[in-house]
Amino acid sequence: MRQRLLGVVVAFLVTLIGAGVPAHAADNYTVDPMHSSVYFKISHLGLAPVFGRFNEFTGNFVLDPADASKCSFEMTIKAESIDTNNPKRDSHLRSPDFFNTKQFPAITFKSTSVKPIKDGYEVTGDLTMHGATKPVKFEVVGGRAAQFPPGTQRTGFAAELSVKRSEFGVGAEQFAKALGDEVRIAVGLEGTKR
Amino acid sequence: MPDPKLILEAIAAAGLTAAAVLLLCAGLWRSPRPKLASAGSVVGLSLGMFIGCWWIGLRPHWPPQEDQDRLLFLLLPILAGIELVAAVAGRSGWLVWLLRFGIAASAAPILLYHSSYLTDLAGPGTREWTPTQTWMILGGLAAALAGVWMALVLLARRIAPAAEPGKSKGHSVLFAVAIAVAGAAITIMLSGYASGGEIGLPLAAALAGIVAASLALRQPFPGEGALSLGIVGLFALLVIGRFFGQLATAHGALLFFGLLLCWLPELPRGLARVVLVTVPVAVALALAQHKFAEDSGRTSSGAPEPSIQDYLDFGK
Repeated sequence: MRQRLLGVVVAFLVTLIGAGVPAHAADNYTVDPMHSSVYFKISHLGLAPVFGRFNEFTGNFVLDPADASKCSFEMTIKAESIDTNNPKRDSHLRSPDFFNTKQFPAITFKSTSVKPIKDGYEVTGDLTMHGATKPVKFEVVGGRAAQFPPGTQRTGFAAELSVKRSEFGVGAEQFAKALGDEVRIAVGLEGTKR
Repeated sequence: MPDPKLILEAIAAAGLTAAAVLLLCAGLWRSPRPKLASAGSVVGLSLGMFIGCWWIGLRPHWPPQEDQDRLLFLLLPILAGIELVAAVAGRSGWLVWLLRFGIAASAAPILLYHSSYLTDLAGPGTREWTPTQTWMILGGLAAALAGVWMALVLLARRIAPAAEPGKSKGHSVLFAVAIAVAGAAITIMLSGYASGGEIGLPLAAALAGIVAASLALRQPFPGEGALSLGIVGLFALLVIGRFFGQLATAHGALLFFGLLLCWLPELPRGLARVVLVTVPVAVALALAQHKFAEDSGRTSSGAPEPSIQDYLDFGK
């Protein structure tokens, strides 16, 4: 009887202590578009790469240093915001010859698994572009934290990945010879903690 | 950019296919076979256009996802089916016109289906047109197509009886549509939608092939089905060029409503004179208004820019 009472008291104390120590929660970040960028490059005529970027995007990511399986990355890019420093070319890229932005206004990425690696994470997820969804895998490097401006906790990552535009049906067949199939995408991502 | 040699080959393939099918259907008989000729023109035009598109490398997807898929796999085949039935039946009565009006009403919605104009693709409330705007724009487009379609079919019927077999008078409307389609194709390509414009080149070539073959026929040519396909094809090209590419509204309207000038020789001389002067004046006004709006936008400092109407209403 005495032992039983002791057991109940110990259990009560453990519960009490447990309630007093908060469990580690994942941190939610919102992408800061002012300090983030999405660039791409593609070979033109096999001579030199042409660079471009998307100017409008949103996103958020969740980081849990203790458990990478709880981490996630999501991003939505406004396809119409494509910018290659040439308005006529940008109009053409928005047309159904390429992105068909009136039919497919968003390019989205949603992670399906995140694994820790040295200096960052290996992210696997679904990239949806021009109505087609394909799995992609890439590394995000970074994760250092800073307060900027004071009181705002932020962190950031850099990522590079490569996709084949033909797999997403971007670019009419007539342009197959003029433009490379491989598109290199470089993303710089800063997020502010919510 | 599109390969000119390939485009020329596609044009030749489309024109020759259309002409060959029409001649095979109607040219082998000694006695006139108007039903066969009419059906042959619809089949020849459709086949010629699709072969031309295939030759260029246009590969629409099934199920249809984009504007070109819906044009080539839905709109034109449905219309071709209607016109084929009308041709075989030998008349285009009220039922055929009812179906044609159905096509006129549904053409733009089919082409714009699931686009950001009509659907919240990027989250709730992101569609570009309000329901009222949607009704007004789609209704206006349907009325424009139905109006021009009726006007040209009536004109073709009006002048066809006067044309003798082998004479060109009865075919001039169809040839005018071919020219308009070719012009629209090149304009759309120049407006930054290359593959959209390219669809028009085989269509124009197939229409021209039908006209050429019909001149060789020893019978009057009832080309209402081919005419309908040409008009709806032109309308569809202009819609996708305007709403998915960067085709200017003024250019699209000019190319489409310009077909109504086919009526000019039928008008009394006095009225024809008035129309001849009114057309360039209206075009100049539209272009001036467009340039004014563009220039106003360029110099905008953030404050709302006054419109011409604001100036006209000032002080009233």
